[in-house]
Amino acid sequence: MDSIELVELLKQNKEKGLSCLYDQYAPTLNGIVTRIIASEAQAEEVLQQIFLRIAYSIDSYDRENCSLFTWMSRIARQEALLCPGQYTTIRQINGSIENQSSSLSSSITPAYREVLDRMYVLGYTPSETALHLDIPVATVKSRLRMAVNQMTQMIQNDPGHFLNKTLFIILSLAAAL
Amino acid sequence: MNQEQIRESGLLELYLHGSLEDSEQIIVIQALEKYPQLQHALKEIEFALLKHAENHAVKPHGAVKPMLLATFDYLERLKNGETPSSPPILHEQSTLADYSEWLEREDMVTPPEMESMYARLIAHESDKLTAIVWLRFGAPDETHTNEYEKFLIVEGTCTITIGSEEHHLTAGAYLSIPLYINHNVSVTSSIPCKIILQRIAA
Repeated sequence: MDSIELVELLKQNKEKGLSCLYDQYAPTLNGIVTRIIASEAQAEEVLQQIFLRIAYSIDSYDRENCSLFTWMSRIARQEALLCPGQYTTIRQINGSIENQSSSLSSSITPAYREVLDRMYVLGYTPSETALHLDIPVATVKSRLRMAVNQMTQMIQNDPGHFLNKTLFIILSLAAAL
Repeated sequence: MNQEQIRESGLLELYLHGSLEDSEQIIVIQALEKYPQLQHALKEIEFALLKHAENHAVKPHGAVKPMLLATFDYLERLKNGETPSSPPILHEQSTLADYSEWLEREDMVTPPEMESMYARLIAHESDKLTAIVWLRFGAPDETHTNEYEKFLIVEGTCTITIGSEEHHLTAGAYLSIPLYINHNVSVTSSIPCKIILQRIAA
């Protein structure tokens, strides 16, 4: 089901929409949550909270503004960062972050990847990332941009490796517009 | 800022991340209105970030989905005027009759196309959650560190393994799970095993 259909379903039949939305996005959003919150029980509770918030605030989602996933990932990060005790957690996982293998991010220039991982894997804000890496916020921004740029290049150069076919068609369509 | 400067500034990435300050947010929104072509750049960034997130996906425990749907149903019931109830705490001497008020409810039955687990909440109080749960096959391993889990079997049979101890349970049986010990449920009846479940804050 594409995101437009999902949003419609959620507006018309919340329980059914919630079920479909969960099947499609729970692992991706849970990835964001579990990297910010170490306690499994707390992470499960937050994941539930995220989906409830999505279901109840779906009317405020505007697809002209951003994709459904972008909107949901912001909610996921916000909810996870609200969870008490998560800052200590960040420091705990911090040491093991380099071991997390991701075919997409492993080939990014290390200095850029450091920034990407802190913001998208650990849920840091730009200023926390700057503080943590001891670089200016402006550098955080430019390195994040370079990291995303490299990912985009990789996706375009080797679509079969990263994308399933449908998603690649969507990207091609978007590029053709 | 012109189009190229916006693209190079890293502001679009932060805009999608949701971490721009208000002043920068305004700059980006104005730029997106002024240069519609930036939408394409934005879509590309969103797509790359979606792929990145998918690469880091973590499958949640199988009980999360049914409990989410049960919680949603409970919130809707309260919204529609149901008064929250306070069911008794499960203990050794608990009987099914103690919960007949909820077991007899017409809206607490499984749907025809039940997935491997289904749940309806009886009550969600600050220190305890009480639910009716139906398991088709069982429930995977889990360990609780912050809540006591208690079961009262309503229908069907199951084996609950706590550590290396096996408990064969039939209708009316009660079992309490200790903290910090891994446990799982395996359904041994052909019909789904229907259980009253209570989780109490430790």
